[in-house]
Amino acid sequence: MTKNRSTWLLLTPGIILFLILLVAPITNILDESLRLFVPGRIGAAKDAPYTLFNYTELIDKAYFFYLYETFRFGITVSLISLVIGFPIAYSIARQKSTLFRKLAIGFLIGMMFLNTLVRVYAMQLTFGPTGYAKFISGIFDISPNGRGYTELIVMLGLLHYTIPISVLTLIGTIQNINPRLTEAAQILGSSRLKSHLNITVPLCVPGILSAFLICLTLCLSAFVVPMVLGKGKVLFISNLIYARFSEIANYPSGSAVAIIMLVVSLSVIFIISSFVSSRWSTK
Amino acid sequence: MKNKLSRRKFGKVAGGITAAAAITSPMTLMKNAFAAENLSVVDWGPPWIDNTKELAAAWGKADITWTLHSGGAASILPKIKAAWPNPPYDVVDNWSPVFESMIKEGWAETVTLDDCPNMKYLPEGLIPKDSDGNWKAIPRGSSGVFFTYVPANCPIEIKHIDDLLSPKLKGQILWPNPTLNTNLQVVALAKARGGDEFNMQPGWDFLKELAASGNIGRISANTSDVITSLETGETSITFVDEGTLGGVKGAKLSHLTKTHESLKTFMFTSGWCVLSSSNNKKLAFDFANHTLTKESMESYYSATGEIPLSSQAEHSSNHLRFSSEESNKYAVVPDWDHLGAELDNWNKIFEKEIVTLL
Repeated sequence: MTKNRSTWLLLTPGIILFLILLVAPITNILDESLRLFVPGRIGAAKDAPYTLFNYTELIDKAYFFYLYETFRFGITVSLISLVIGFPIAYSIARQKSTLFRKLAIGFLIGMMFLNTLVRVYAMQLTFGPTGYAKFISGIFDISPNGRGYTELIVMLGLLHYTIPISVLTLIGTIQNINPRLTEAAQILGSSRLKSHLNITVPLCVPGILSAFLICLTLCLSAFVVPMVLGKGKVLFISNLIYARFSEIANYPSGSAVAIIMLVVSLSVIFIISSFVSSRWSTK
Repeated sequence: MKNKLSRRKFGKVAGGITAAAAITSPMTLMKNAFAAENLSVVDWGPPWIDNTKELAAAWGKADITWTLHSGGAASILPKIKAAWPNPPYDVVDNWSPVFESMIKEGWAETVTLDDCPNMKYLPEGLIPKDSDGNWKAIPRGSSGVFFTYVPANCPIEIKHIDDLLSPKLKGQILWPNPTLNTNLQVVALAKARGGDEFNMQPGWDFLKELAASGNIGRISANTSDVITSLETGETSITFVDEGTLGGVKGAKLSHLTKTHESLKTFMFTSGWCVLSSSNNKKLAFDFANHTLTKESMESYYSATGEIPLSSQAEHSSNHLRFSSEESNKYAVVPDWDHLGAELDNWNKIFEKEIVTLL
């Protein structure tokens, strides 16, 4: 009983915080999403009737397109982050020099302290018309004002965030794997590539999954990157939500989009986690 | 005796009361003093904020806390609503369509000639009013939203609205999103094809052609986008208000206000709205009144290009000076109330039918 009481005492502040800062706002959003919006007003009136219109109007192929675009960018960028981040994380984790490891980790953490807007606008300057837009678009034979180039820059903007995070997430996982396992495989005749693919990578699956999900979450909720680098052509769901709340003051519609995005995101994360866990669970 | 008042007890109580008074009184005084000498003003980015700061420095009666509009002018409304009845703003710089929303919400304080004597120099017909005819805002400038382009960077000369569809203009157009200019850009397209703000389908059809043509290089979301895109040569043609163009210093612009009747100019007023929640109304009106002096209005015009509404001030914006005949041909005063009511619907049409074509 004493142990249970102690446990509850320790959990209670967190639960209260969770209820106030997460559950209550989401409940408000859910309520707002079911209210009728009168155009020209600011949000729904307090006594606005309940309606499902804010959800039914989203059943349109255009909004499926935005969902698809958001997830396409998210999944693509997350996968690229893993492919680039894993070797970096491995080389840092396996460094013999403690100083080098600390400097590398410090550098990665330091990158995340840089102001978001400064970083995004720096990218806009670098890859925009005053920067290397013509040169880079020339390599791919695309217009610097075309959609292809815009998508490329948005992806680079997202990778700018997700690569350091995926590296930091994977370093811990790789450090927990005994390097002797890979060495043993190589001693028994396996090539370096095969030994890493068959030993290191499968053992890192929980960390890879965590890194992927963290990167995916960051991409799905990205707002500044598509807003600044997307040139208004690449829009994420977050941008639609922003326009409804900040520019049009249609809170009910914005809330409906937010709830749908929340449900879809949680579902996708659950499916991915379940699939990976069932296939690679350690017995 | 029970409840005997001992010296120790008296000392404790007296000390407590004195301490409380010592802490509270200066704090209350400071708070009141701070409130009386500090004004919170919302304004647009450059060139407006720079000019307003100059005018505020010349006025000098209070410290000012500045807040910038982020995005379209209506973006301040959710912030006011979220904090109502105590939003942290006293005065908001805004324009015709947003005045309507603020008046409808009951956020705009009534202003009279006693509050702002310099309003006697303003045309009474252009002062935003509520349904009872009470003055609800203090307009400073009048201007237009129109097509403009940078001839040095544009592959062709723009003489007609249909030139926007020219295949030579790939990626050259900076198109405002619907939340900018209350979607007047599509109203302009509609008018060119026989429609108007009440019949927008011709405008949407035109915009779909434009989007599919590949001529739209960027969708602008705020004034910074416009200034940066035109200055860097990323795009060369846009539809924008005169004030924003005041921030474009590095590119020579050609304003298409009297070029062809297919290229319309939409006229609006902009100015101050003192919030009815403000604790500093007198100070706010005094500040607004100061910005209506001849010197202030001419300074405002010089910085933003908006035509001063005060009859005392002079201007030389001939591209926005219309004769009666020119006014009928080129200038439009839209139904702002209708625009505000339709903006939500238009934004959704833009999301569903236009962005997917870009």
